[in-house]
Amino acid sequence: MRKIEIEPITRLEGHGKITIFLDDSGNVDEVFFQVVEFMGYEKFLQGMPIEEVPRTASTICGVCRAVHFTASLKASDEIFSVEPPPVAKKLRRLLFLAHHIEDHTEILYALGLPDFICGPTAPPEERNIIGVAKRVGRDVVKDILKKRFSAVRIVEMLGGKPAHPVSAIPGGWSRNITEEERQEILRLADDCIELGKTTVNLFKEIVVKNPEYSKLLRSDTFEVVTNYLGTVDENEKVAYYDGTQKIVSHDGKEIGRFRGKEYLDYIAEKTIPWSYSKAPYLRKIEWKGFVDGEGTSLCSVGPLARFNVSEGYSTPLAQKEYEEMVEFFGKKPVYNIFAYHWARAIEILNQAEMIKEIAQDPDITDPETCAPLGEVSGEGVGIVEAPRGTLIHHYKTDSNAIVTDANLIVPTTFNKGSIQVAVKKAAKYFIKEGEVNEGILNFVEMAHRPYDLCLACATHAYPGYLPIQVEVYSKDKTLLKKLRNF
Amino acid sequence: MKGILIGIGNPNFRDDGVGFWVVKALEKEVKAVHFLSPTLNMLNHMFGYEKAVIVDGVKFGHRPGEIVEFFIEPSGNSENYFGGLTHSLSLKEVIATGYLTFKEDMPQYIKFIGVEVEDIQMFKPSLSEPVKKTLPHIVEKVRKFLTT
Repeated sequence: MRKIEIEPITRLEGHGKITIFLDDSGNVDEVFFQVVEFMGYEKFLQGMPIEEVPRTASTICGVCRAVHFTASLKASDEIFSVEPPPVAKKLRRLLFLAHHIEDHTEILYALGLPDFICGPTAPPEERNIIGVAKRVGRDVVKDILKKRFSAVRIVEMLGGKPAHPVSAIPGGWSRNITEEERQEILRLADDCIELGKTTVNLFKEIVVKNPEYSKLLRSDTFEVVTNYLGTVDENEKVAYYDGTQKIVSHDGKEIGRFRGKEYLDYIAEKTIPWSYSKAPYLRKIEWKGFVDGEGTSLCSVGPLARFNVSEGYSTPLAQKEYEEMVEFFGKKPVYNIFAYHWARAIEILNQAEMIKEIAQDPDITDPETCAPLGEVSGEGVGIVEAPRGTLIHHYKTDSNAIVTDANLIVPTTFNKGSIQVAVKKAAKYFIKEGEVNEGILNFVEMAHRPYDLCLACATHAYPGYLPIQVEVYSKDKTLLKKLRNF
Repeated sequence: MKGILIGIGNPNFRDDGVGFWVVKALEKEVKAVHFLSPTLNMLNHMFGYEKAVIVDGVKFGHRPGEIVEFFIEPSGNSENYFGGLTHSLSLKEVIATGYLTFKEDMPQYIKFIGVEVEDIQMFKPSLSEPVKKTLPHIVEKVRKFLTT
C-alpha cells in the first residue's frame, strides 16, 4: 500500500492533515482528514459566571465574532429563566444577520469564488480576492467591499466593539438604538440588498452559465450524499437566530425536529482514534462510518443544508432565487458541494432583506431592552445557525450561575464526515492507477472550501495561506513525486 | 499627521494577544483599534489616515520578545511576514486588497511591528515574561511613529 500525505506545514493555529492511502493498483483506498482542533474554550469557560460567557465566547474566533456570542447569549437566557423582550430579540437578530453577510461575502469573494473566477488550476497566489479584482474589475470589487462595510457597520454599531461584540446581557441587550441609528440601518440594509443581488447574479453569470462549471455543479464526483440539519421558522423557511432544528434524510424525508436540550436525542458524537475532534452523527441511525449515500449516519450543516431542510427563504427576492436554484438541479436535496456557494450567495440576499424588514419597525427603538432575570435554572442550551452551519452551546451551572460544564458543537465538527467524503471523492478523481494528477492540490482545497472550515481560529497561520504538500511513495517507500503549493 | 494603531491578536492566548496589549497601553493617546485576527474590516478603520501601524505576534524562530519591523508595500509583498486563517484572509491579502481597491483612502505608510512570541497555546490572559519585557519598547516605537 502506498501512502500520500497532504500536509499543512507551518501552522500556529489548529490545523488539518490529509493522508491518502492507495491500494496495490495505485487507486485510492482510504483518506483520512485529520483535524487538530484546540477546543480548550470548553474548559476555559468553566468557573466563569455565565453572564461573562458571551463576551468571552465571542473571542473564540475573529471571523465568527458574533456567532459564539449569540449562541452563548441564548443559553444564558435559559440559565437565568428569562425571555428577552421582543425589541432585544430584534436587535440580536439584526447583529446576527449583519454578521452573516460580512462573513458570507468574505468567504465567497476571498475563498470560494476565486476558484471559479480565476480558474481551479490558477496558482494560489492568483486564486484570491486580488485575482478576482483583476478579472471582474477593480471597481466591481470596490463596490462589493463598500457594501460589505455596510454590514460591518451594523455589527459594530450594535455590538459595541470592532473586534467582537460586547453588548450582550442575559435577558436582553445593553442599550436601545436611536431613531437616527434605525434610519442608518435602513440605509445600510439597502446596500446589503444590492450586495446580495450582485453576488447572486455574479455566481449565476460566472458559474451557472459557464458550461464547464455548470457541468461541475451537476457532476456526481462532487456530490456528498448525507442527511441534513438546519433551522426553520413556523413557515418552514430558513431561520438563523431562532426557530426549530429540522433534520431530513438524504432523500429529503423528515427524520425529526428538536429544540434546545432535545438535540441530545438526535445528535451523538463518535470519538475516532486518529483525530482530536469528535464526529457527530445521527443517534437514531447509529454510527455507520465516514460513508455517504443511503443509510448514512452523517449529517451536513451550512447554507446548502439549510436550503435542503427548508421550503425556501422568508423574503421575496431570496425566495425567487431559491426557486431558480431548485429548477436548475431539478430535485431536492441538492448534493453537489459547490452548491454551498450558491446557497451562500442567496442567503446574503435573504439576510439583507430580513434586516430591512426588522429595521422598518419603529418599535426597535423601544428603550425596554431587558427583562428581569428569573431563578437560576442551572442549565441552558443556545442553538443558532452560524454562517457555516448549526452551532450548539450547552452549559451547566451551579446555583450561583457559575459554569460547571460546557459543550460546544461547532459546524466544522458537524461537517467533519462530509468533508472527509468530499476530499476522498476528489482524491479518487485525481489519482488513478498510481498516476497523481497535479490538479489534486487545488481540487482537494476546492472540496473542503464549500464547508468553510473553521478550526481553532484564535491564532494565526503563517505564511498566510494553507501550505499543502503531497508526497507519493511507491510500495517500497521510495519517494516518487512531491507536489506543493508553497 | 494623522495615524492609527491596529493591534491584532487574541488576549486569551498569551503572547498572541500582544497587539491587544499595545492597544490597551495607547488607546487614550492615539486612535487605536483591536482585532482578533486579520480581516477586511481593518480597512475601513484605516481609511483617511496618513499612516497606520499594525502590531501582531509572529513566530519566525527569533528570540521571544524580539521585534521585527518593516513598512508594508502597497502590493503587500514587502516580506513573507503575514498571517492568515483557514477561512479568512491573510494580512498580506487584506493590505493588498485595500491598496488595489481603495488606493485613495488608504494610509500612505503602513508599518508592521511583529513581536516574536514564546507561547500562544495556553489559555492565559497575560503575556510571557520575554514579551512582557518588550512591551514598553513596542509601545514607545508605536508612539514615536504615530506622533512624529
